[in-house]
Amino acid sequence: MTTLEDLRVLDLSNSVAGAYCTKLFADHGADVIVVEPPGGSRLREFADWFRLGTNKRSVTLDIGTETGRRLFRKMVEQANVVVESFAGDRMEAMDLGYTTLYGIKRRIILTSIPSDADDLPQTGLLAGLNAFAATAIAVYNADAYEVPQHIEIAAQDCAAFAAAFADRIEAPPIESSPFRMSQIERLSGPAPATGEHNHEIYCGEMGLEAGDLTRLRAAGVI
Amino acid sequence: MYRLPLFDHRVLDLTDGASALTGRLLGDLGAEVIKVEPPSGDSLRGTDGFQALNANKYCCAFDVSKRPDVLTRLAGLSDVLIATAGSIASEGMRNANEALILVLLPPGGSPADAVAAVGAVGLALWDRRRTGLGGLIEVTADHGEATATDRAAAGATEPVSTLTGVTAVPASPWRLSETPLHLRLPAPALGEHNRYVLGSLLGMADPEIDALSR
Repeated sequence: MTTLEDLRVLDLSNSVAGAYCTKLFADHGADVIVVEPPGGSRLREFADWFRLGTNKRSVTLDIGTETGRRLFRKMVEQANVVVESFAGDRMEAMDLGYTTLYGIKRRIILTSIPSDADDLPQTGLLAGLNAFAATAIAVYNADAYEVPQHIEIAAQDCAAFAAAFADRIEAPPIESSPFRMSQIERLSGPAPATGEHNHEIYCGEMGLEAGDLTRLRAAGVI
Repeated sequence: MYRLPLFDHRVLDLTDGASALTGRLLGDLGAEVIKVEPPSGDSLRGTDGFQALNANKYCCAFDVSKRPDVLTRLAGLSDVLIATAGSIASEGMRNANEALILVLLPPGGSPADAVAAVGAVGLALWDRRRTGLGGLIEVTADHGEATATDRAAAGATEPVSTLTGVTAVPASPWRLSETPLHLRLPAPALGEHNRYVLGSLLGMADPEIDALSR
């Protein structure tokens, strides 16, 4: 059995849909890094966070600051997928839109799931499942044929599509991935604490010094 | 311009009825999906639901139970085989092709199962690029609590399978910036592509194809 550890996903989302999408990658061994504000993602207030956050790593980063955005762009160099759930053109406004990300990483997949996906929790899970499916195919295609994509998923579209084929809209299970694979291990690790992997990722993988982390923390960037 | 994500991939779809949605979605994504159908036809043939579930597919109709060897040869030329758990397709198919990705769906044909299966196929293809090996994907049927989501609120009127009159083929709900998904093929007639599949792909002569198609 193998894992998907060379598949890296950066999760900027703060919605059930986004978190469920990246959970399905993480539960099958992809390296999912939750990039959350220094105070922690608002999703942590949800009772189900410990289920949605399984097998992910966490760094804190304020992408509202220029330093934060610079660090995020550096992280994109080593990523395959970025998942976000901001409303409107917030990503473009922060100079983190598809064109910018594509300029940093030619094979990037940007998956956008506007956070109204969570108007109903069940449709949020269904939207997250759809986002996972489209993203998993796209990231394979990017890897094999160098095709980037900006994937846009609307919860309403996903629910309407499902409703066209069934009397009752069934949401996928939040507890665990809805499929098993003989070739890829299914993991059962915990959800990370806020910023649990700051040192590991910023210092161990991105080459920052411990002193840099202290300064970034004092400036409220991480 | 890029080609569709799965443009050079072949999928064998052995499912019946509502379970055919996985193959439809892989067809939307550009795969060459061959619906392997019994000569008696899919249980939903003749309904509009059949159209929606089987657009973007080819159809090869023959009796798999009489000619499992034909199915095995087709599996040898395919990337993915989709079947309902407990049906004829089994682990044995993977002996013919170690790169084959075998997808077993639970009975019932839930749209969520179909979407989950598509994502699992994406992960399996990623993995196969590194290992050269396919594998077995089992979609589990344990859904969370049945949802109280109002179908009308979700924008739907009637399930496709009960629609009459105008054929409605709902478009895929995924927007891909570089390769927009679209309906390329209507649902196939029974055995419409027997000559392509059995002749061009497997090299059978016309008399043998005719005998199989009967």
